Amino acid sequence: MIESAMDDMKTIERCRAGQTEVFGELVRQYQSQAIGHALALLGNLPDALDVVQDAFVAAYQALGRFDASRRFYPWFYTILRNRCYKVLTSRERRPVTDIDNVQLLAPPADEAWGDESAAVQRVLKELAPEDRELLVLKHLDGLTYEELAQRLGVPAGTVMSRLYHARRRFREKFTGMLDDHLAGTDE
Amino acid sequence: MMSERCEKVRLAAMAALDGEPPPLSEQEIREHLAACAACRVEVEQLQRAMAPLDRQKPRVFAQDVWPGVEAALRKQTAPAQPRREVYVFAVLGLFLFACKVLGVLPELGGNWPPKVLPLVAAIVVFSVLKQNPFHITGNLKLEGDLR
Repeated sequence: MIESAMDDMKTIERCRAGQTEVFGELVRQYQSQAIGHALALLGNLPDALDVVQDAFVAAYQALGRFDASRRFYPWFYTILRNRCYKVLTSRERRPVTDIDNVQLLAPPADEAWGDESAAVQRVLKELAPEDRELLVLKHLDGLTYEELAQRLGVPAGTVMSRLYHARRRFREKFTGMLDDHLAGTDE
Repeated sequence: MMSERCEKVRLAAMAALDGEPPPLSEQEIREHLAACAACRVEVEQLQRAMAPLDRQKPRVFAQDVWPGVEAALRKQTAPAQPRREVYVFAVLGLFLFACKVLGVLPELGGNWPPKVLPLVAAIVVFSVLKQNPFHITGNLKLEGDLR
């Protein structure tokens, strides 16, 4: 972790010195993670790719304001998140109906867990973007409450409460889906 | 309707299960869960419901956004510069301008400081900011085919 922060810092110093191509190292290091996070919020891959690209361009332009004592990705995430929410707000004015059926999760290592993975994927898709974001950051990325608080710009107490309610909504939908599945197999 | 105390204990219990410092002591949580079946069931069910999510891994995306980012950056000329350096360069610019003005004043003409100071100032500033405007490195690069 410390090594990665040091590497980020060195790369950023070179970018600040005008070596634009060095920024490509940072982009390639974090783009998969960023696409996943944008997709969790937007639920649409083309939009997610556009927003990630814009966010990296904006991050490059803002590197002068980057605090070298911080790690790159959490700082970048706030830029990415703001842009995702802008897209979501514009969708409220102009609703998008062609939400992709895009996978957020890696295929399970064991095929026996394939149904479970598909069910989790479906439930995540049905949740509100805020709940999906929180659950992905907590359960897939394994962030602590403190890290979540920094990413989302809210106090740790708020994270605790939001996470609790997001988990309840996940459970309701997941058990509802299992009940439907069981009822289907009984018939 | 869930009581305020029940909600507090549920949040604290979930935080403790996440390995976070809970807002209530472990003893308070344990005592409440022992006495309140609704909270006990709720916490157990939530913990169980999260297990399928915990077994998932984030997908790795093969898409490469760098070509698009690079193309956008090439259109913009200004490289990222920390604000601190912008101010230093502004001060240097003013200083060089002042030196030039002093240098052309007839009563100071022929004096060496206005001619030498700008160069010294530039070297000092570039050294302090670790800038390398001519990209001079210690690496030797052989060009052409030596065979």
